[in-house]
Amino acid sequence: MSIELKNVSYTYMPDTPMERQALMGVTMTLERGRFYAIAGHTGSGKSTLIQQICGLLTPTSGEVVVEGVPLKAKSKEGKKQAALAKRKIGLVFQYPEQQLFEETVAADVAFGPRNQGLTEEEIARRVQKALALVDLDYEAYGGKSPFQLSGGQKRRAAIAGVLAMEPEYLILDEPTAGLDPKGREAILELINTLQKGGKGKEPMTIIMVSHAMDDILRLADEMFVMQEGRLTASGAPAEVFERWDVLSEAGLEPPKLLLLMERLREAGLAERGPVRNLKEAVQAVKRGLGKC
Amino acid sequence: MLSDITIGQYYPGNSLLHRLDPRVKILLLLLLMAEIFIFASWTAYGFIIALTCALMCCSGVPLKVLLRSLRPLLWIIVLTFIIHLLGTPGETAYQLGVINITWEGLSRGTFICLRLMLLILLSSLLTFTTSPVKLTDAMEALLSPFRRFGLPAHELAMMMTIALRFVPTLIEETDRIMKAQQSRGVDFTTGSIFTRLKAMVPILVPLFLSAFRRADELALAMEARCYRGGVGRTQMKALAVTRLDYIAVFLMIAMAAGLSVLAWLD
Repeated sequence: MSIELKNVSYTYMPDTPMERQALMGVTMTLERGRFYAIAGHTGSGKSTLIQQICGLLTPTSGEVVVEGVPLKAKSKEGKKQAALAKRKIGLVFQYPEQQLFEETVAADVAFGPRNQGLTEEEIARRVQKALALVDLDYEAYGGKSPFQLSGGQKRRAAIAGVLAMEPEYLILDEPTAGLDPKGREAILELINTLQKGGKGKEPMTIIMVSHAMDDILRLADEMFVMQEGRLTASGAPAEVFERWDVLSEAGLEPPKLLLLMERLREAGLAERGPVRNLKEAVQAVKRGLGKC
Repeated sequence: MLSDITIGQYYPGNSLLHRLDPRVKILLLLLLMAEIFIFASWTAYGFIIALTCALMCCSGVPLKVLLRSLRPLLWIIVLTFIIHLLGTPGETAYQLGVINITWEGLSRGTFICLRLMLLILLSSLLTFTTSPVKLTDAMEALLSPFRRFGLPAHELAMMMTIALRFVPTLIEETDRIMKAQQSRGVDFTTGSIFTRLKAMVPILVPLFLSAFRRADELALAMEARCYRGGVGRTQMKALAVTRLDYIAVFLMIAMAAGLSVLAWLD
């Protein structure tokens, strides 16, 4: 079970002077239950790519297949199948709080499920569940206007609006952009919990676009590097971040943590070996110091 | 989708027409339009059509793009033609039941359609070869004599510049919000007019909110940079009349004079 992109290319405004090719022959496979990250400079085609994955844009050439169902279908039956397949994918845009519009938080979260034509009880159940997932108390916030919330809360309410549709794949475009450190941590924690699943919940597939390399290193199972519409590297973050030439070519910098570890190793203060987060870094330093 | 819309129809280039001063271009366009209405004879139209074709050739804009500007008004042109074709009395050319087509109708219809097409093509030549910013600059310059009668020329131009500046931004924003709501299952394309209008609410509310926020921020930013209206304000790219403009003006006046003589001889 996976989403497959086969040689996907996309051109904005073809046949005009503003013509611009945003994607060039991108091929990737997104397996169920894993945490993917997409990194790239502004204008490298990340946003276009995720809109292809969830079927908002149709490739100029190439194909997107969601769990065996091609999204570009001609027949009526094929289109129906494609629409159902698209429902498995939830998309959280950049600054999702800007799409809030209803009078209350609960009504806004209910917007997606209502469009899916669910029963009122099912909608109510999903709203409560989604708000609980993003750690907003239904009793306290459900009846409030979304515009009364703080920045971080607004964003979590908007994410709840997507989660209420119970997608199996969740795509997030820079979910932490413009938040304070506390809000950032809360969102990342939420995404991580969703992906891990547990407590009777299926693990969710996460596809996160991010400029924060340290977050990618810490959370992602696999990362993709985009540059000028092409996929220039993919693999486990620890491996990709070792290829500094590819990174600097794409206009990216390695995570601060890895830069620090590099300096510590040069000074002989830390052991060699993969480091993904602060905890592992501390252990590597302890072991490095123990050897001295 | 919405990303395929271009606002204004500026076609970047560096042709003779692109290099003309926008003020001169506007004035000459007005002159040409006046000529189209005043000299309503086939000979005069021959000259004007030849001039239009020459301008189209040297504008550097592909013919296909230029002709596309006729498309929105195609139905009006066709309708006008039919009305004139059927509604002009005179010598019968073809009769089918109550429908009576006259030679006079045929010639009159063709003439009016030509006039409409010339007007559209010439004014699109102006917008194709002049960037919106230059156009508003020119408007401000041309309207400034009326300032003494209380016309706020600078303010009008500034409002237009700001509006133009924000059109692409707002289109992008609308596109983004539409897609966001679409991924939450909104369907804008089916249903009755009422359901479709209702489907616009989730787009309009966020759009208005962000538009007001942007307006607020822009006003603050302008004030922070001491903007206080048009008095004594200079421009980074001041408009300048060059030799090319004098040549164009001379040629156009010569043509107007020629057409007048032609009309007088008739």
